[in-house]
Amino acid sequence: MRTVAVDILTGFLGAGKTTLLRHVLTHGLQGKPVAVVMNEIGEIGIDGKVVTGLANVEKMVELSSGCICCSIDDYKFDLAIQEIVETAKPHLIVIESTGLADPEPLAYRVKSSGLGLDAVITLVDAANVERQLKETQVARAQIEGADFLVVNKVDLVGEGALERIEKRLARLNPRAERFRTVRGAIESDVLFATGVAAYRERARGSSDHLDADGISSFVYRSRRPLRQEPFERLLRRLPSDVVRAKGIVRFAGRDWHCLFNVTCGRHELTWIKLEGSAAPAENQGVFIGRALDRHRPEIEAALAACEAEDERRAEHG
Amino acid sequence: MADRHPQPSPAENEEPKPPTATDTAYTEEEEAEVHKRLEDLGYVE
Repeated sequence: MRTVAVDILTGFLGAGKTTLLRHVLTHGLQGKPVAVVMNEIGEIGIDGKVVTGLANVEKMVELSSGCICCSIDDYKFDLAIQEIVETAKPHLIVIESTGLADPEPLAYRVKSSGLGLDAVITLVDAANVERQLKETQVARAQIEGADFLVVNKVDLVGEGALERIEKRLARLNPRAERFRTVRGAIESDVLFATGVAAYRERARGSSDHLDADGISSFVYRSRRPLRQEPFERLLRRLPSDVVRAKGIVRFAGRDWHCLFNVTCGRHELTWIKLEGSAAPAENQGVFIGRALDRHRPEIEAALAACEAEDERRAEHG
Repeated sequence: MADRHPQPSPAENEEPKPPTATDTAYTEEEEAEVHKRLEDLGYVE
């Protein structure tokens, strides 16, 4: 279960969630096996039909007749997740919520079910967000709970209005990374868990490779075990330009490996017991973000400072 | 009267045995599957 990542796709009614999902399922996600959980309030799922049958969609489950954040009970949710994991064996589960769902309780539910929460992606309807924020509480909750804010339908508003909207979004959620799109056609790999491997691959090719979205990456490797406390402190204090950081490390005095995942300032550690060929011989990580040529030396120095001098001293120190 | 200094049981005296193939959490096939998943999700290469 720990090796299945979950991305939550949320956004107000009509923001373009299914359109974006269809786009990334068609053009992105690196062809990895993906399962989609679609939550619609009505009895008949319309959106589900839009993504069923796409090449890398191993499984499509519709949770209808209730909102996934509040009215579908834990048992039904866990059952659906368990069925997906066992039958489709996906590497990534994308949960598309209803337009009225608050992502916070849903994120909590995902973590409680033992899955790794990768990111909360909120679609914002540029043409209607001001009115939605005025009329509803949930529009605000969706923006505040996001790791990534995708401002969609930017072609329907002028540049001045767009700047005003982005300023407001930044005030509501200064932590989130923002993108602009038209009809959900986002070209960045950074949003979904399966895109991280692409940045790792690019970092191997050229250390200063910069994507069209201005985001670059570098890879960290070391053979010594790390001290957990300073490592966690490092993750908490990463510069805000670091959009994602992800990898596997071994801490001194611990038998299990630790998977770390940082998404826009929110970090999670999960533990995994690895043996044989599954266990990497070294710590590995990838750091993804903007202006990394400036931040890299500082991050690498901080990582080196986390290395335990020897395992026994770290255990008793 | 209870013995205040009980002898350690034989099990406590024994050296821990190195793990055998049957003690490992995964079969070779499962190890490869886990590695592939970690690779796909960007944790390792």
